Amino acid sequence: MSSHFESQPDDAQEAAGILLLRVALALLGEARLRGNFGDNTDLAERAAALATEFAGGVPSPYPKHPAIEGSLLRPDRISLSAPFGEGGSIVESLDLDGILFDGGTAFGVTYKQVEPNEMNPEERADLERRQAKWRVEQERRQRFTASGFVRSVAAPSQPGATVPILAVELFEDGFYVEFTYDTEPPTFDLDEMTAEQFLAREKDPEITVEDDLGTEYFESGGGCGGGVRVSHSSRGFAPAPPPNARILRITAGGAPVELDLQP
Amino acid sequence: MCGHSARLAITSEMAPASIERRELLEMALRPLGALGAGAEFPQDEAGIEALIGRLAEGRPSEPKRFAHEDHGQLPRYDGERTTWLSPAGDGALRVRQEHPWDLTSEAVVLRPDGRIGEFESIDGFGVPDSELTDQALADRAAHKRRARKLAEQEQELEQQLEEEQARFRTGNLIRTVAAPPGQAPTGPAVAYVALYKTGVMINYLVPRPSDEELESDDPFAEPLTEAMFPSLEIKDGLGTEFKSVDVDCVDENSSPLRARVSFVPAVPTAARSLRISFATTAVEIELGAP
Repeated sequence: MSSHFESQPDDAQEAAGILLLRVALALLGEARLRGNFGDNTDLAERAAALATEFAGGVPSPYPKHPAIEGSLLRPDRISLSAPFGEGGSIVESLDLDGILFDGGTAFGVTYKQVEPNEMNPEERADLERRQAKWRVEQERRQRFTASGFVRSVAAPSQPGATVPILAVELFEDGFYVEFTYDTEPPTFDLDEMTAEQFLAREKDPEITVEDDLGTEYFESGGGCGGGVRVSHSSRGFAPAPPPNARILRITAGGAPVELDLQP
Repeated sequence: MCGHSARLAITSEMAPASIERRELLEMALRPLGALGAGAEFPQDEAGIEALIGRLAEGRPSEPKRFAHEDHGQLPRYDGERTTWLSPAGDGALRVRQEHPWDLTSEAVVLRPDGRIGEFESIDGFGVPDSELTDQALADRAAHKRRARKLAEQEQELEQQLEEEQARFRTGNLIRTVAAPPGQAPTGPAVAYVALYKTGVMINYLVPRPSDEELESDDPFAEPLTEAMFPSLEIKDGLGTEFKSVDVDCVDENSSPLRARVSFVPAVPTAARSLRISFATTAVEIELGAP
């Protein structure tokens, strides 16, 4: 399977946004007299018809979708969606009092899937090997649930470190390593960037963890972080250190930092 | 009356950003919703003021100002991105939103059935300077004063931004201190504090609200954010007045939720402990010797 990002044409997105709001106004103009938005089927049909009318009679360019999709959330609240480009859509919710909320724009990712029947036995075996490996990795990634917080352990001072470790937050089934590092303002140009460059533009440093018992720790439970000019980040690991582990040794690019696990 | 805007110069070379037209239509939804079962929009000032009084409020953090303007008068600019409503005849309403940063407007006539007329892009007041009224001259002078003040503040704002962005860079980090174990899991629990030369960061966990508690009829309610950032104050025993300068959602998908609040100034080196108080619980962190 291969995938690539495709930027959506701005004018199509802008036109879809305006069309959605014109349909919203017309639907509200009818609903306010009734005191509700009617039933779901009528609403969907009316939204599609209004969209065609406001587009000058031109039918939806999307074979599987009307230009505006309307659905009833409750008698006084509807959701509207306007597809655009390849897989993009604008969504909004509207209340009978004229308040628009929960708006957003989703951008599509197009991909070409290689059908399994196009594979030769060697390719199929390779795919199955990779799928099995992915399932194992997935299981490991989900092992740490971070549901039972136990305590934190502060890291010793690390003067001059480019990626200082701040602390670990210990949970019953894993732990987070908290760390920080300086970043510089982004200089990238989204329009000129390939999908690979976009995904690789800023990566958290690699973190490895060991203890004095030789426990094998693996990344689990996800991570997060960010910030302008400095990132404060968090990365999950599993399993939790055994009760008799005394030292947690964390490496983040530079010299390892040892955290004393003994309470 | 629908043709009253013919006095205004509609500059065809202007290319109004679609976002401005979208926002105009979004604003137009509110008076339409406030009209309720009324057959037509009011055509007098008192009626339009009453309509404005009935507008739904929207997101509390983003108040939108609406005001009446007379039909046929030059556009007003009060510098507050106001949406101006005026009678347009035949039960319709003219909805105009000002863009105070460049003294332009986008307008549209809204009928009671929700249909709209053509968009109007208005540059300034839409008339030659010789036709400007006293009100228009006053609005323009106020715009120039605001622009001048903004330019004067620019350097100060840049310095402030630089200070904020650099405050918690690694070079300012002194050390971290773990909170004591055994805090009740039923309330907020402090994980650790990070002491900087420039401030202090409090990292804590709070129980995740139930799915029922996260459901709300109010589209602008933010129960997750409210749960994540309960009232929090810190005291160092020395009387330092700490001010919260930043809040960070560390992980809103976790249970418990993880968050961080940053304060200034730095904790003085003479401080031996830090008391962190939430509404329902408090924890004392021994800072030890620096």
